[in-house]
Amino acid sequence: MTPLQHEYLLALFGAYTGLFIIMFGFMYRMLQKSRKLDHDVKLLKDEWLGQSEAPMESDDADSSVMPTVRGHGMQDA
Amino acid sequence: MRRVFAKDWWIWTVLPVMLIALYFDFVGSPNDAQLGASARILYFHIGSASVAGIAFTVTAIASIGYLIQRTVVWDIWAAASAEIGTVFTTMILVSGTIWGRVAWGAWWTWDPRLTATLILWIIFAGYLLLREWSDNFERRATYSAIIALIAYVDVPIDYMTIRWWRSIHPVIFTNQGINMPVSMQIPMFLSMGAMTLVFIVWMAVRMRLMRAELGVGDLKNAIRAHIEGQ
Amino acid sequence: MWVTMMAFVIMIVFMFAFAVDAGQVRLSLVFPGILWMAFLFAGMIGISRTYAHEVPEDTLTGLILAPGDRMAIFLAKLTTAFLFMMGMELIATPIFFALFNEPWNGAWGSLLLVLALGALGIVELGTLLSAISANLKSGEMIFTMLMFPFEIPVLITTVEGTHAILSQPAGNPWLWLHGLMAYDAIFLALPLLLYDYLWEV
Repeated sequence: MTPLQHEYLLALFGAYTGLFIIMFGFMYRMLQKSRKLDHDVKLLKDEWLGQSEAPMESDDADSSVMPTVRGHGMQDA
Repeated sequence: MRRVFAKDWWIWTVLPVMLIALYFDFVGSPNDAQLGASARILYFHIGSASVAGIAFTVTAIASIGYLIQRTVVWDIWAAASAEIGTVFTTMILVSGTIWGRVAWGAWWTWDPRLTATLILWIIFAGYLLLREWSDNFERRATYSAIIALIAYVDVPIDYMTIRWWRSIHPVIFTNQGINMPVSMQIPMFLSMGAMTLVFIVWMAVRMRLMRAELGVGDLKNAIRAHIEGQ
Repeated sequence: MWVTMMAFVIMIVFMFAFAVDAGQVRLSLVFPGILWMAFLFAGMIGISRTYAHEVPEDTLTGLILAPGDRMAIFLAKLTTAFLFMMGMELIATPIFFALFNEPWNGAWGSLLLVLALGALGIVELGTLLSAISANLKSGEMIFTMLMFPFEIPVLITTVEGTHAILSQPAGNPWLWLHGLMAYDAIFLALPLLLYDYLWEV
């Protein structure tokens, strides 16, 4: 094998190595994305579960308490 | 970033194995007597071909499993495997055309095996488009399982083309044994094994992403059902 | 369906007659290819509508609910499409022969056999894919995307078979016809096996 051929083969090896490194880079991105999605889903689920219980705590929403904000006509009263 | 590496460390161990296999394929193996150095692409070519065959077989089995049991797991297996199989089929076609240009001076000929592989590639591209374009989950899973089973007919035919018809591909695996010197068998099996490992790792990663995406969909549906219920 | 296919195939005959210059090309070499390309296109146009007109009135639900085997629905659709396809081929083939000045060597039987087997090959998967695409949003696109690669073997075998039958002296078409028969058998059996699952969605 001539030195030139050897260098050519090394270059080919380098090219295919690059291909597989790119492939694993994509896998890294996929892992990152799935981790992020799992995390977000968990957060959202917790938040949602917390929200759906919220109206139960403040049961006085329908009661006849006067509004605390004063309207224009009431300023002089 | 460190946590992604640390938790799934076993995924990254496959990369050095693959690179060692590539080094043996391209640098550490002897030249072919007739074809010279260009024959080295063959190891990569056979490796991707065996992985594509395994991947489409997994897709077909998972499709049968889905049609019988109708569970999400089977659909995820089928979809992930079909995607990876399509990528590896692309690698077969690309490495084959490059090698064909060097060895015969032509990028492409309508050899039976080349035709069968190209048909397989187009059909699975259509399969992936079908999955991409449909919105209803169950319909998508059922239809793509049916398409995968019809498409799988081509895989054994592709394997047998060089045995049934005269082809430019040499028959390496025969009933009498492996038609290849030992010094070339070692890099060939090494790259086949390493690429199968790559396939396994990729399946694990891809299926995890699909499950995460399904989790988002489930949450959406749950919230929507809750809002409509109120 | 019938009118669409007939109109389409006649249009294609004219288009090919303009596209292929009879003075430059030896027509008998490209004739089988043109013939089957036209049949494939016309067949796809016709078959893709097999289930489409069931959707607006939702008559398919009625068909599925009807007592009896669902396989009967599929076989009925298949038979209808095959008869339409065969009728279209029988009318269009003489027009092709006339317009392209193809000499006729009197091989009635084998040409009819190729026409029938080819029509069956196009119709079988066409009916199944049309059932799938009728229920999908971009179904027509998917039908075309999947139909072409699946029909490549039919195109190869019918074109080579027709070529062998029509060439002077006639060649041996049986190798190609056996391949076509195998294709027809496999892709008749597979949809029959899988068809039931299609409606459980």
